[in-house]
Amino acid sequence: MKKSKYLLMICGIAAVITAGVSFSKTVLPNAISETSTPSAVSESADNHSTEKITSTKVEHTKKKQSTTAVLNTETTTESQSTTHENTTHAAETTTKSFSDTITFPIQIPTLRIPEIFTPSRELPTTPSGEIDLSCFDNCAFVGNSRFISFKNYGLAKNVYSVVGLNVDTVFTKSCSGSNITVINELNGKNFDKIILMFGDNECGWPNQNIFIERYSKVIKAVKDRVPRAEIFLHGILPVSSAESEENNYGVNNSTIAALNQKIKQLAADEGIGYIAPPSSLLTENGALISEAASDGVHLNKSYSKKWLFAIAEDIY
Amino acid sequence: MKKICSIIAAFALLFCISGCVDNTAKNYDANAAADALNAALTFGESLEKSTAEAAYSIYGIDSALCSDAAIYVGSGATADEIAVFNCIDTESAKTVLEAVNSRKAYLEEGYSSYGPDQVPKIKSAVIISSAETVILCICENPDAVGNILETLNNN
Repeated sequence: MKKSKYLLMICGIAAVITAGVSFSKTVLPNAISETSTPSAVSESADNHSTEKITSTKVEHTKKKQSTTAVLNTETTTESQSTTHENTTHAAETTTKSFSDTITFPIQIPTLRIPEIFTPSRELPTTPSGEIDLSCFDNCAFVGNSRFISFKNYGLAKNVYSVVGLNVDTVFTKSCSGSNITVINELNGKNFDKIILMFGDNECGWPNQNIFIERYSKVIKAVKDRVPRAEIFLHGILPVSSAESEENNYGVNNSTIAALNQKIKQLAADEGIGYIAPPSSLLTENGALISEAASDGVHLNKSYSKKWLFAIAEDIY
Repeated sequence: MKKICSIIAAFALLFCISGCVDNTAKNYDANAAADALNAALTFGESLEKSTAEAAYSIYGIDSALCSDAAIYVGSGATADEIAVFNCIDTESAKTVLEAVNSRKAYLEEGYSSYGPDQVPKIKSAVIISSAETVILCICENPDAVGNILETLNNN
């Protein structure tokens, strides 16, 4: 009796071992042959770049820095997708295991980490239907006193503006309530966008080329401090017709128009954006609407909001 | 007698010198004081009431030093401004007073180049520091500030 028990045990063990060996020799090799190792993990650090990964033909265009990791599988059926959904590729294989009726569908999921990018988006609005100015929460405004109203009226958070500031004194003067120079206010900050506005206080300079040359240095200093930010040069806002006729400190709309052409060219040369003075603030002949500013220069609260709405529509 | 007169004269002189900064013990509600000043004083442009956060930012004041703040500001066309800070204690009030004086100096320097007509107004700014309230007022008729605050006292 005992001997027969031992014999049965040995036969059972042998059968299990045999089955295992045949499985490993037949099924597993077939399954493995239908897959390939993961292919490229790509990373782009540049703005406005286009990238292709050919094995699955994923093609995307990024506007901001993004990371895309794709775990690809080459199956008998090549797949093509431009979406970011997970897809599943089924590769069926049959194997002759210890039973011909058994099939092993192999499902290798294709994992695609969603691409991080910022598509053009609709601007957020307040319940009253106005553009929600919190869209500027990660945007900085740097420049002369024409930006001061944004800070004074609590319309924007990150405003670094000083009365009389120019492309030289941005390196030496500080904002009200601060002992940090305006340019160094950008140190350690992670703004998405930075809008610069200079030129009003340089209208009276004898050589406009020097203004452009020094503006270029300001741009470089901004890039050094916040390398990932999109930088925009805002054109000088025209002044009212009456103020233009006064020609205080050389500020008149003809000079402003000429300077704006140079600023626009500078932006193009530097590969950064240019924001033209919004037409919603101007009369038909290109002057600042007189009711926009009591002194023909510095916008009141109502028109400061309109200005910000126009900027938002321009850069987002 | 001579000694008594000289002591009295010394005190009188002391009060005269400190006349530019009124160190009354009366505290004012920030919003009530700012609203009353804006309604009654004359300015070179229409001022808008801004937020307490804007006030702290403009003056470089830690909001933890104040229980409330009210500010009326302009567009930058003029230096006109009203700022009232309710401080949490007298020590905080000293810090806020320093910030207010710095603000006045900042405006004077800034407008001296590109708005020199504003400088006399800035120089005659009224700064009031009570036990825990600090007020800055830059306007066309600074002499009226005291009367307006007195009216608030009586209410």
